[in-house]
Amino acid sequence: MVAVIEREFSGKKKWIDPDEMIDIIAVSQSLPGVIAINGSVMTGYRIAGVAGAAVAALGVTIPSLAVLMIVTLFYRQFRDNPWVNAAFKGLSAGVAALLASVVVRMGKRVLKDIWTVLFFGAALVISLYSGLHAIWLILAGGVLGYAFKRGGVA
Amino acid sequence: MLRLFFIFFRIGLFSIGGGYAMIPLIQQDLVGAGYMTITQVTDMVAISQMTPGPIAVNAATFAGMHTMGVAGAVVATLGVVLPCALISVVVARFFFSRMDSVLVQGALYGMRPVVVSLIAGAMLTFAASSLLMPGGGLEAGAAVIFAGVFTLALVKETSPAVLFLLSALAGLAFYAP
Repeated sequence: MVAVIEREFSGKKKWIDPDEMIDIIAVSQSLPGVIAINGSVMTGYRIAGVAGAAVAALGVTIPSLAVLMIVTLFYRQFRDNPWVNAAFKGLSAGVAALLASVVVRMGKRVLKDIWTVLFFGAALVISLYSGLHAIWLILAGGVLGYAFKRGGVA
Repeated sequence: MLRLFFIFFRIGLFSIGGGYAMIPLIQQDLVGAGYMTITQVTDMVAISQMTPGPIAVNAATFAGMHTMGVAGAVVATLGVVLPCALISVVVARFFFSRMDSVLVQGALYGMRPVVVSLIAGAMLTFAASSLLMPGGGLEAGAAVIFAGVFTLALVKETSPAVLFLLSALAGLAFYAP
């Protein structure tokens, strides 16, 4: 997705400077939210201001919205069919396995020192054994991460 | 309806580090509120991966459509897109050059490991519901698919779309009537 944005706007159309494109990609990955939308909206904004941002957001959303509405209708219609059910049984194992691979790959990149490993372990234990909402854990991670960097601990 | 909007607004606001980060949030909020079952959330993740477009938008449309029809789909999708779009415009306008600051980098330093562990937690829930039989014991076919997909994803870096196609075919092979 990011590669497509880059090729279109900085490669083919020359609407945006390649260095600025690299910055947009980096920033959109560190903002909260959907990376594809962050990237598109910032690209749209840099080209044409708020109107560009709105058009970009709509443009990247509407195809997904339309496709998924139709897919969901079919899903509701056919989910109980034994053949569809068999395929989804396979898919559910595939989803779990894909997430496991994401955890391993992200873990290798993110868990760089003793503190990040501790944050990971603490958050895992708390999220599995208490009903605490994920948002509080993310916020706590942000505050502690800032405090540690600021204090020169990490 | 308003509740659905706020659930997805919150999900959009707190998904840090890409589409996978929102899966534990969706799971916690939608299953917790009784909108969907674990099986439906797993189906939703598979479908949002296999269809083109951002996973988060696909998942929001699916969840909204599934719980409240067309209006629900539009509301949930708006909910997830709006915070991202607002934040992006504000950042593009004011903070673009300041994203390297200690504040942002420090916060991300602490948030990223938490997000990885939340994804790990969601993975365990999905794996339990898919691999364990209701009465206890391991579901053999699902376990084979899990091991195969995990290996392919890590060793060969096969794309998710191909992995899911293989999983669905294997599911048919093991479980078709």
